[in-house]
Formats: sequence, C-alpha cells, structure tokens
Amino acid sequence: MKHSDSISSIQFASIVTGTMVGISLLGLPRFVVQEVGNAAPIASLFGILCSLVGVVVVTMLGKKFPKQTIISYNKIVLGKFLGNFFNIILIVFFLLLMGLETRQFAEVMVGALLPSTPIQVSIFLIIFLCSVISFQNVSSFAFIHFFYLPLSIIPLFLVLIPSFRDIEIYHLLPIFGHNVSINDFLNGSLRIGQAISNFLVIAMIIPYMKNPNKSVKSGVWGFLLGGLIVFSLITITLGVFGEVTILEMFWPALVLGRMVQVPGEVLARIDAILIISWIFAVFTSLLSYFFFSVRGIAEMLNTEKHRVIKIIGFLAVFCIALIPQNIYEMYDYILKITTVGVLLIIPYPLLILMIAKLRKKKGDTI
Amino acid sequence: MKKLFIIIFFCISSLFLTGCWDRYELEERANILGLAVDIAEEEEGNSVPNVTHEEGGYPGNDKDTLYKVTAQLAIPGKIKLGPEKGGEESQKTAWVLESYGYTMKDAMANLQQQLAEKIYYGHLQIIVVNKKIVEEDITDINDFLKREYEVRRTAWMVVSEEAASNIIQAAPPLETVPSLYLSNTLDNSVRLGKLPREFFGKFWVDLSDIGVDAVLPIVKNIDNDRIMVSGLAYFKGDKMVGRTNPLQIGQYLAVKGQNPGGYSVAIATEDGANYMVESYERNSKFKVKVTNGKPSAFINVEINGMIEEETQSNNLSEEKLYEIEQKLCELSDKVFNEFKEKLQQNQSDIYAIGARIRAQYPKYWNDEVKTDEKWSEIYKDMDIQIKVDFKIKGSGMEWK
Amino acid sequence: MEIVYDYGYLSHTTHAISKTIAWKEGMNMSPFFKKRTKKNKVPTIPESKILENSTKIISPKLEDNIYEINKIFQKNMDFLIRKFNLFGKTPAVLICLKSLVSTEKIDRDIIKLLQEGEPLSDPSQQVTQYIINNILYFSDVKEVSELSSFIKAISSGKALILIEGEEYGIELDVVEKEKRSIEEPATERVVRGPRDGFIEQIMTNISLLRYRLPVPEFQIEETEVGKRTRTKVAICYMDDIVSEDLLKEVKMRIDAINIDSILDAGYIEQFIQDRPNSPFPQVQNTERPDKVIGNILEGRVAILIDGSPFALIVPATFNQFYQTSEDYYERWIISSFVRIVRMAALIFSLTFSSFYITVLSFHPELIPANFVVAAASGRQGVPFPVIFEVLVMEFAMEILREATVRMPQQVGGALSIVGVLVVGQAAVQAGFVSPITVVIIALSTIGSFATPSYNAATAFRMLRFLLIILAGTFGLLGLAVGIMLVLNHMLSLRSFGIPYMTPFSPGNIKSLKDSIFRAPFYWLKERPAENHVRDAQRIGKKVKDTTKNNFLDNNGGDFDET
Repeated sequence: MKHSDSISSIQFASIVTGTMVGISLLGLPRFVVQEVGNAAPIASLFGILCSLVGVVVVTMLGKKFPKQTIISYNKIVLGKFLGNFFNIILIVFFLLLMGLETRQFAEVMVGALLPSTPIQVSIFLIIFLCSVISFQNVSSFAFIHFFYLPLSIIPLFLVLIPSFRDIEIYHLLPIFGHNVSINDFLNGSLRIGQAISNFLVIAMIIPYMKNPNKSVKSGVWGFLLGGLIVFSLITITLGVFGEVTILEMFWPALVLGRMVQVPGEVLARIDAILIISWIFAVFTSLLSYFFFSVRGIAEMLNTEKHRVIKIIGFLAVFCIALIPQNIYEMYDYILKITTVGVLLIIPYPLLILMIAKLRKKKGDTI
Repeated sequence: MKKLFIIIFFCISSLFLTGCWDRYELEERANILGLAVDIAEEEEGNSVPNVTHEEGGYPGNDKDTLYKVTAQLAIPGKIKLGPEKGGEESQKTAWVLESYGYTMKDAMANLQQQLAEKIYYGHLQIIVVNKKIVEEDITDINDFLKREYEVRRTAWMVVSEEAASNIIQAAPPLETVPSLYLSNTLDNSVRLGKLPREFFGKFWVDLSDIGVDAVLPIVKNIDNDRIMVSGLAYFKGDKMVGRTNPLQIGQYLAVKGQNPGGYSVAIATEDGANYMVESYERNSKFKVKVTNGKPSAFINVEINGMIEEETQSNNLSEEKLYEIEQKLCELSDKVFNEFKEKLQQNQSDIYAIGARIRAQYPKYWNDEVKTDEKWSEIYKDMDIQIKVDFKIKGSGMEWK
Repeated sequence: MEIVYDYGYLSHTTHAISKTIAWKEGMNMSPFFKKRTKKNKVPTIPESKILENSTKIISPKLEDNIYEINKIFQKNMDFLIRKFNLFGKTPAVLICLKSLVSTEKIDRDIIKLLQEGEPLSDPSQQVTQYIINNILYFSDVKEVSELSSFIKAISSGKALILIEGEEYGIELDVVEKEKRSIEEPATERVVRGPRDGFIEQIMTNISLLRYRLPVPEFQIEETEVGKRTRTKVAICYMDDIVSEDLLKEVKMRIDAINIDSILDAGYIEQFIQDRPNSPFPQVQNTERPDKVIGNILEGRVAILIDGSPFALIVPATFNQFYQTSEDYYERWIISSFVRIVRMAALIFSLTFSSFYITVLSFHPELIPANFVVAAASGRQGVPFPVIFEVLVMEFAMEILREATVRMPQQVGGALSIVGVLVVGQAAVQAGFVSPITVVIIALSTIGSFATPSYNAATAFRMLRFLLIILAGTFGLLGLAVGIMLVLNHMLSLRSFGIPYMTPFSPGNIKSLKDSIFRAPFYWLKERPAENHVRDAQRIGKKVKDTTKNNFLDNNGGDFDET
C-alpha cells in the first residue's frame, strides 16, 4: 500500500479554497464597500489578482524545497536565528488570527443565532472541534478539507442564485465608484488581501504532496475558485443592497440569506442552511490555522508531541478570543492583525525566494 | 495525561448541565404574528409604565409622540392539530394585546413586562403602521425591527389610513390565524402581479438608497374579516407624501417592469363596445441623459395584454384589435404621464431615476447634485417622458 | 466522548510487527492487554498442560500406550476403545471419541477390513505402511509416532489404530460433525439473487465459494487461531488481483491474535480492526457467498472462521455498508434509486430527531408559521421540554427494538403490537408526548432499519443520542458541531490503511461510479482503485445491438399465413 501521507493535487486545491472561504465572508462585503463604495467588485478583483502573486510565490518556494515546510526552509534560507524569528512571527500570527476569527464566529452566533448563550461556549465548541482532530498524519487533514468543500460552497450558491432577481443594476454602477481615489482603491483591495491572507497555510503542506511540482498549478486553481466565491459574493451583495444599505449592517451576506425566499416553503427561511454551511467553512479555515500553528511549533521544537501542543494552543486561542471587549474593538484588532498578514503573504515569500536565489539555497529534490 | 482528560471531561459535562440558555419551548414563546402601530390618544398616555425609563417621560425630551402598539399572538391551544373538522364553532384563535410606549422597543418592553412568555418575533408576518406615523417619519420604527435578529426580512410592512389596530383585528372565517391570512393576501397579490415585492428587506434598501424613494402598500379593512390592497403609499425620503389608487399600482409595476402582470383595464371603442384587457407581461427600458447639465429621462414601457371580456358588442376582429391597441396606448400614455407628474410634484422618485443618473453620470451627480435634497429639487422640474407600447396577444377562448 | 486519535496505517503496522515479534519470541505480550503488561506480566495463554507433559513416543508395547491414553480419556462418556486382532492374530486397538466420528465407517471400512485382511507376506515390510498402502481405502491417513499429536488427533475427532509391536500408529479421518442445512441467510434477504448462505462448517462454506470461483488463482489459506479452541481460519483471496501488502497485513494481524478461544467471527473482527474504540464497523461481515465472491474479485480479502456462518471482508469502507449484493443483480436505475433511498434513510436516522429539537426549541423561525402554530397546539399539555420528550421516546424505541430482537418469534408479534399501542397512541393520549414527536421518532427509527448493514445502522443509532444532547443544549450550533464530530471521526478512520470515506474523500471518480449511484456495468470497467488491485480490468466492451429489424415479427407473419 502507498504511503498514506500523500496529498493529491485536487486535495491541495481544496485546502487552498477551504482555508480562504471562511469567517470573513459574512462581513467582508461591508469592509470593502466602506473603503471603495461601488468599486468593490473591481477592487476585490484587483485584490484577488495581487494575492495570486502570493500564491504563485509560495508554491514556487514549495517547489524549490519539495521536502521542507516553510518552518524548515526559513531556517535554511535566513539562517537559524533569523529563520526561527520569522517562524515565531508566523506562528503567533496564525494563533492570533485564529483567536480573533473564532471570536468573530462567536459574535455572529450570539448576534444572529443564540443570543443568550454565553460567547465562551461558541468559542469553546469550535476550538474543541479543531483540537480533537489528529495532526499526526497530514492526509486526514486533507480529507477533511476535501469533504467539507462542497458542503460549504453549494449552500452558499443556493443562497446567491435566487438573489439574482433582486439585483439592481444601479447598485453596481459606476464600476469605479464615486470619487474613489487610488489610495481608497488600494485600501479596498487590501481588505480582500487581508481576508484571504490565510492561504499561507499551504506552505506547511506542499512537502506532503504526491507531486510537489504540481503545487503551483493546483494552488492557483484552488485560489481562483476561492477568489470566484469571494468576488461573486461581494458583487451580488452589493447588487442587492447597494452601498448605503451595506454600510448599515455587520454581516451583509447573512442578511442576504435572510431575504431569500425558497419556493415550496418547506423551510421558511434559508439562512439556517447558510449558517450551517458557513459553520463548516469556518471550521475548515480555523482547522488550517490550528494545523499550521501546532505542526509549526512541533517542527520548531523538533518533537512529535502534538497533543500537548494542541492543549496549550487550545488555551492560548481561547484566551486570545476573549481579549476584545466588544464587536467594534474586535474588528479593529482583526484589521490590524490581517494587515500584518498581507505583508506575510506577498512581500515576505518574495523576499525569501530572492534570498534563496541569491544564496543559491535549494532543497533536496525527490 | 489521564487526569487532564478527566478535568476536561468534567468541564464539558458541566457545560451540558448548565446549558440550554436559548431553549424556549414553543409554549414558552409569545409568538407575535402581527403588529399594528398607532399614535396614542391623549388620555391613554397615563398608562405608560416606567419600564425602560424613569418618571418624567422619555429621555431626549423632544420625543413626545406616544405609540400604541397592538400585537397579535397565536393561542396554541385553540388551534386544532391536523385538518380542520367542519361543524365546530369557530373560536377566537388569536389574542390581541395593546401596549403603549414612546418608542417601539419601549412599547414592546412594556408588553413583555405583562407577559409570562418570551416575546418572539421570528414569525412576525405583518406590521401595520398608521398613516399619521408614516407621514411624519418612519425611521424610528424601522431601527428596532432592523436590529432585532429574529425579525424576518420577508415580512410585510403596510400602511393603513384608519386605525392600524383595526386592520390587525380583521379576522377571516377561513384562516385559523388572522395575521397569516393578511400576509398571505399580500404574498398572493405579488404572485398575481398586483403588488410590488416590497417586503421589509426591499423596502429598507429602497429607503436608504440615494436617488430612490420607497413605496409601501396601503390596506383597508373590509367588513372586519378581510383586507383590501387599496393603493401604494409613496415616500419622499423618510416621509410618506402621497398615495395611489389600485390601478396606479399597475402603472408602478409596469414602469418597474415587474412580472407577472395582473391588472385589468377597461377601454371603449368608437362603436360603443367595452373591452377589459389584462396585462400579463410588462417590460420597461430606462434611458437617462444629461445634456448641458440638465438631466432627462425617457421610459419605454411595453405591456402585453389579453382581452378578457367584451361587453355591449360581439364582433371582435383583427381590425378591432388594432383599434383597441391604439386606444390603450393613448390612454396609458396619458395616465402614466399624469401619475408621473403627480410624483414629480410630490418629489417622490419611486422609479429610481436618480439612482440611474447617479450610476450612469457619476461626474454630473458628484458635481451638481451631491445630496438627496438637491436631487429632489432637480427631479421636480426635470423632463421625464413615458411612452407606453400596449400589445394585445390573445383574446381567450373566443374568436369573436 | 471519544477523543479522536489516530496512529494511522503505518504506525499500526509497526505495532503489529512488534506484537508478532514479541509473541514469536515468547515474550509475554498480548495485543489486547498491552497496557496491563507494563505493570504485571500476564503470561501468554498456555498450551494444554496434558499435551506439554506427554511428549513421549509411542512405545511398541500396546498395554503401555493404552494405559497412557486411558489416563487422559477414560472418564469421558464418549470415549471408545475397541480391541481387535489384526488379520486375525496381532492384537490391535482402535481409539476414538464416539461423538465425533461416524461409527458406521469405523465398523465397515476399518475394523472389518483389518480383521479380515490378508496378512502381509513380506515380514520386512512395516505393518502400518502395509495397512495404509494395501488394506484401507481412506484418503486422509497419517502415520504418527508422538503420543501428544495422537491425543490432539483424538480430541479433534479422528480415529487411531495402535498395533502391538509397532512404533507408529495410524490416524484416520472419520470425522462426522453435525451440521445444519444450507438456508437463506436471515440477516441478508434478497428479492432477487442466490438464496444460499453460509453455515457453521468451514468446509461447506469453502465449497460454496469454490464452486462459484473455479479458477486456480482463487486461494484459500488456512491458519489456526485460539489456543484452546484451535479454530480454523481461512483467508480467501484472488492471487492475481489482491494487493500483496494488504494480504501481508491481514496475515500479520491474524497471526498476532493471542487468545484462548474464538467462538465467532466477531472475535477476529475485534482483533484486526484498525481502531477498536470507534463506533463504526471497520470490517464487513456477511452470510452470503455471492457477496464474498464479489468482494474478493474487487481485490478484497475474505476471512472465514470455522464455527461461524459469518465471513469477514477487509478492508471495509463506509461506502460498502449501505450496499447489498442485490444492487448488482437489479438493473442500474433501480439500484441507484434504492441506494439513494438508503442513504437518505441513514442520514434521516442520524439527524432527524436532533433537527426536530433544534427547530422546535431553539429556532422556530425556520419552519413555516402555520406549522409552528400547529406544533404548539400539539404540545399543549405536554409537561416536558422537547429534548426530554425525544430522548425518552428514542430510548423507549431502543428498548422495544432490543426486546423484539431477543424474543421468541411467537411472542415477538404480540410484543410489537403492545409496543406500538403503548408508545404511540397511549403516550399521546396521556399527554406524555406530542403527536408530532411520535411521527418524528417513528421516521428516524424506520430510517435506521432501512440500512442493510446492522452494525453500521447501530452505530448511527447510537450517535443519534450524542446529536440529540448537543442539539438540545446548543441548538443549531450544537447540531452542526455534532455532525462535524461524527464526520471528522469518519474522515480520519482507516480500514487496513484505506480511508474510510473513500470514494467521497479522498475523491476517486472511478469508484464514485459505484457509490450512492450504481452506474451501469459498462461504466464500471475497472476494479475499485482504492484497493490497489494488481489487475484492474474487469469489464470489456459493451455488447452491441446487431439487430436491424424485428426478426420476430417476420416469423410471426409467416406463422399467420400457414
């Protein structure tokens, strides 16, 4: 039998998509529209294309070091001290991101589903789900991503497609917005980059692929699928609500789900399906973050005791999730943290790639 | 390691033991199906308890309108499970409660103070608002409904010219829960092409959009057991500024190009024959232009109709059909433009002409118009033309 | 709650290897009591003491041998010792256990021939060899010289002949075990398909397999498991299809079993499955030979156990537990439809009752207002919360099911009537549960009965309670979390290294054609890839329709004219 820890290209692509499509979807249209107004679709397209550079660079690095994860080749390229320094930054980034996104998830739960359930319960449940999964072999992680992808995407489109008839063209025009300066436009694109900066997780997975040379291609495909979802969600939400109404709400995509009427009237409201599938999407994203952190720490410390690290990581994430005082503060933190994330997905891998070229470092080929 | 698991296990099980924070059984929920909002009479003001504020009125003192909120709750026990059995005396199946407050939430908080069950808005079907409130300002009522996560965005908001509580008390003999009947009336009107899809969600979008004004259906209580859609209330900003008659709803729908068509119109030919023509398909095209800093709009409406009735005559033919078409086009051009002028006078841009100009001429909008108020001024005097192209496609089962 | 842990296929192999090595070296390591061995060493299950003590060689003196054997067996009521004179002169003795042998055979085919036979003419020839070669016409004959193997043979139902002055005895296979006739398996009935099922005797079962698969590639290897029961275990596979690694792994896991008794296939199943603490079955069992053959031809390995009418099939993925062999006998559209129904029933049985709780107690906004009003009326007078109502009813259903399974058939009918009456009608009238709850519970219970595999259905029925509690505590969030817990566990399960959720994840389009949807045969050209078969080709080209016109019609016309 084959080595079970090998990930096929399709699974790899689904990890990219599954990680990108997550918590931020519900609130994302609002934050982009806040910066650029009607130009949100164009700005998001631009943001997606910019991040695509990041995907290509990260996967190219993976091709260059087909047997090492980002933790290892950081050390090779930058030297042990500097490499470890950046490794810590990466891991801390993902832990913080996971904590805050968990909190965001919990805020949606409290705000739109279970108002009197303590926020700690939602936080606990979702982290608990992530931490009972074994990280010992990478293939289980890939299987989970692959399995949940259709479960989280199909219901999303079930909500989006019926809302087509409520789109008003005058909500989408003019496509470059009203008085949008270059600065605003870049800010809007930055928001997209912030929301999807999490695909860096793949740098941890490439060495486990059956054929790491295919990582660029399948990474780009997975990213484009995720980008398509983000783009169509933003466009349709903007088309239905218009820029003014979007700014009135926290989670435009959720409200969109509440406006959809299903024929047949089996379920009076379709948003329950949206929320369940969204919980699936949230879970896959959080799992990716946790996977990166736990395996990253284990690799840095050169240990196999994932379970101990998971318990410590669990507590850390739980505490981080409880830091923000209210929902406005939480979004402040998220915007700040993810700005660092954008630096980590595009300039940082480029830097590593260039240094690796200059220092002529190369990983073992297969 | 083992001890740690035991600790975790106890933590989890304690979660289950103290859990069920959001569990309210159906009988523990006061299931509000319909709400009616009126302005309270003077002497009723004394009955506002101090639930949300201290003695001496509502804070922010300039707020002195007192709302009377009438809520309709379903009484579970009275409604039989399963198909209705005939012969039984119809019982009162809904419970109508009244509450007073300075705002919506104030009134609802007062109501909750009187009830054993938790007030639950998840099945709120219809909100009837008195015309007096709508003419003043609708935003204050909206905010609570938007913020409350339980309220569904597919519920209806309607305007009543009489007391709103009258509407909600209309109890049809057919339906077990009156509010459901009311909202079904409205839902089916949409399917029959008699009402625009202006439920909460759409209404709120139109209300806050720039360059668009909203509409709401107006209903009337008939014989205390049903309601009639008697027109549309159109807005200027947050205020209602006028109303239409039922046929003008058809005009609105035609200009918006919403399908299916539903309204019938009567027309007479030269030889004294009367025909009833129903529209079944409507399409519209908007052309907006800005020439020399002056906006103008041209709307081309295409209506396809069917002859439904012929009275005082029995000689329908192809020539006749063209004659009827001709007449219909003339008539429609006239009434559509009349209605449009009325709208312009009232500065109510329900056809979203402003939004279209803003979308297609952003430079003009940002330089000249900028605000909604300024747009209303421009809109009042702008040149809008509506051209109606009426086509008759069939005449039912009869040749003649 | 079971915490999902995973040592994966590779680490399990190494475990198994270390276990086998340990066992072979005689280090006291049983795979089952691994943890306990760390503290106080539990010895391996000992061989029979009698056998260990009597490793003597048969002595030429008949009386000595008889004395030794009598010492062990004489208390037994079925012990038979028959003295006679070989060829009318040499004293000899036949020893056997009456209960296991056919006495008719002994009388007619052994004693008669030996008494009346021609004595050997050449005195240099060995008597036993002469008897085997010239006198007896048995196919399964052995010469033995050790007393211990003698005793072993007697206990397994063989007849022995000892002759005065000879150092060898003769072992003859005259076993005649009681067996039932071949019947249609009760647990796996089919509407269309073969009606024979396995029985307890392994040889009969093997013959059922052999005549269906008369090719030399079909191999049946035998081993023995169980220190005391010495149960025969047969490993069946297709030599040119099965993956060598899989076969090696199966043999290794079976060899590593260290237990005194094997009473049913279930013993073996529990020792060789990958994760013993999972609610899901990771080994398939069946009573149907056609199903075994089908699986063997798909590259899987079947394990037959003497004394059990169930064959085990490994590896098993979740995909196999909602399929039946009948799916392939019926036309593909119908089979696909039936499979979709089964899948729906399975999902129903898992989630329906918990979804009901969620909707009624937490999120009534999800269902139409009309239904909410009606459901609220139905609950009028019911004093308990919905979750309690559902839990009590589900539990009552489980009791009812268990009771009817164990009841004699005559009582079973009466019980189910009482059960339906009490649980349904009376409970509603007493205001104990609401009528809608009864409908929901009935649907979810029936759903679990529609699954062809009993053990998979039981797993889902059990997990249903987890979902009910989660949904009753955290509403929709709890339901989603519960479903994810179950799914994540299933996704990280492996059966003999093969991911449990194949072909759904990891995706495999070729195998997906035979999952929820059973594609027509000419689509299923290859054997399932997840079994890493060596010969993948299965079906050739589609048979073409060569008829150009309706030839029957012409004949019919001719017939009319004459």
